[in-house]
Amino acid sequence: MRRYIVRRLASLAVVLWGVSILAFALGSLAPGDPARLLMERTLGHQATDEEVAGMRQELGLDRPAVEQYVSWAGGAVRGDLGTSWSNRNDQVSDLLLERLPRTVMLAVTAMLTAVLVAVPLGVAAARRRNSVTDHASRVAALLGASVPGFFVAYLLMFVFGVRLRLLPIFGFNSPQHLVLPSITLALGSAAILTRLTRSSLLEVLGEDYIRVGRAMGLRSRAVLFRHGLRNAVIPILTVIGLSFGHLLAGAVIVEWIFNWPGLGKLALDAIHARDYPLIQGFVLFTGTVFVLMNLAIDLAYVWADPRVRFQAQGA
Amino acid sequence: MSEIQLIGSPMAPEAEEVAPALIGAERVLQPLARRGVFRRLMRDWTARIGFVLVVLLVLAAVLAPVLAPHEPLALEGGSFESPSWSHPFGTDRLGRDLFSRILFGARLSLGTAFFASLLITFAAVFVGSVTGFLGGAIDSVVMRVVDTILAFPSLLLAIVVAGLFKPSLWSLMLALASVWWVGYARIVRGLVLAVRERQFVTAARVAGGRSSRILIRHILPNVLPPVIVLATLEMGTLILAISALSFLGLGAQPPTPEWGAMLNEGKNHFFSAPHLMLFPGLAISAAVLGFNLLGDGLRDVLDPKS
Repeated sequence: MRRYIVRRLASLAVVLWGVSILAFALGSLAPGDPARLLMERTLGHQATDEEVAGMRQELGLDRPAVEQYVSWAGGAVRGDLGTSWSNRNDQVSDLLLERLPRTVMLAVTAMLTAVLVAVPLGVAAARRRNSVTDHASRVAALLGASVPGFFVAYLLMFVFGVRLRLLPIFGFNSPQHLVLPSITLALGSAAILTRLTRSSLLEVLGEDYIRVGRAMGLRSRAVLFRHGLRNAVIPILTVIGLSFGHLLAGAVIVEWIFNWPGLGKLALDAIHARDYPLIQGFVLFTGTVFVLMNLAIDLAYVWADPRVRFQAQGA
Repeated sequence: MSEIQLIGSPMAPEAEEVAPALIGAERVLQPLARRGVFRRLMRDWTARIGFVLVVLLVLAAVLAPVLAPHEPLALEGGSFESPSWSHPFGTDRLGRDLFSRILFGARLSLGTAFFASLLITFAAVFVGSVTGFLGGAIDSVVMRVVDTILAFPSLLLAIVVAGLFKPSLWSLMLALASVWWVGYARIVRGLVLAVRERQFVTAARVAGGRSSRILIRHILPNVLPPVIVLATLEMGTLILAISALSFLGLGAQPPTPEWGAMLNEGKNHFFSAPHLMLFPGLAISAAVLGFNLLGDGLRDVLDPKS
């Protein structure tokens, strides 16, 4: 177990290094001259070559790329990601940390919504295979995975915001503001989770120990929940963990639509404004979060499933 | 030999020990083309719906100039007209016929998705087979690159990459391909590693075949079919990603009749003219649903467990 963790941590370090290079490269390989861009933005008119050269020196862009990377990454390790070019020259790290909780709030609510809808639906579908419920859940899951969230968002806005006037559409001032964005964001994950709950429960229900339980006269409810669902839960948990990454990615689009001031909206605004330090910081930050989250999922998996634990010991 | 062995374990015809050089692309690809797959696919009602949707989409794309009642860019009607006989889906702000624009949009969505998946497959097969076949330092360096890119959700990274360039359908396609190839490359590499150890490869090597020839003649034919199947399964995901990026303003630009870009244009007039978003949204949904249904059916038919 310890050896497994040590090996995972070693490969983690390599991937994090890669993530930092990728984040840096995305900002510095972009076409166009960032020094000219920034100079003309601050001046508000065409900049002369001397002015651009001055700005380049000030930004350190005249130094070799490796040197720039080392100083950027060195700062990043100490939590200094530079200053944003838009956003009143705020610190990139401050901006990211300020926006993170709002995105996490959205993602967690969406995940809870998805689980609350998907698990009961999946259980119902597995319990009565090929019933109307089963087919209905299949159709719902297929639609959930195919209809784009950015289309559903506007349908929801139209019905609940404009016609019924039940919910606010834009902004983030009250709990009601959370409802439509999190439903939109939950759709994709709910679709996957429904199918997965159904298939992993069906697999468990086919096991011998379930048949033994039934033969011994256990009530079917007890078999289903105590012996069936409990053993089907590990793959479900893994997918929940993994789809957090996709939720955070989906949040970029959802936040933009609902004007939700989270990480995703920050990133898109940075992209549209060509705010390279902020883009680099965002990529490094989210990359690190995803890598750490994947590690946590893997470790939880090892911890939860004895079969995997023995394999990990052997390795 | 059945189709089943295509996924996971590459085929191993009994004759391979006897005449290794005879195992060519035709023999391996043959099972995919067998009528059995299509017939079994059509047994499932959801796959049938998917097939119909995809055929309709392809027809719309191919026949757009014939079917469209108006020019997609012509300013012909009044602004924001509701659906009527002359404009079945209504008109947009500039009086362009929405139905015609959506028909032409099918070309862009399908075309972009198709070329993106070609690019992805080429890049993945090249990188995956070279690294898997050669191994060593190149392999470990490239695989670390792959790990790094896979650490991100693909769509997120594609958004950032697309944002670096002047937005167009081309930059969008390159951005998607630059992120999406990694997952495929890892699969190709795994397949190559498995095939490399097979006896017919050893036999070819003993017979004095050059490495490049062994890779192209003996290994690639066993690797390509599953990768092509995978690329087909993912068409729906690609179409969704293309329209998402265009919707965010990172892909096709107005006045291009791309569905995601049309949604983006429509959102400013959403409350007064909801049909501007409804029809492009339905078009994207139908296209993605079609490919997903077909893909699910195909996966069931080809999956050894079913």
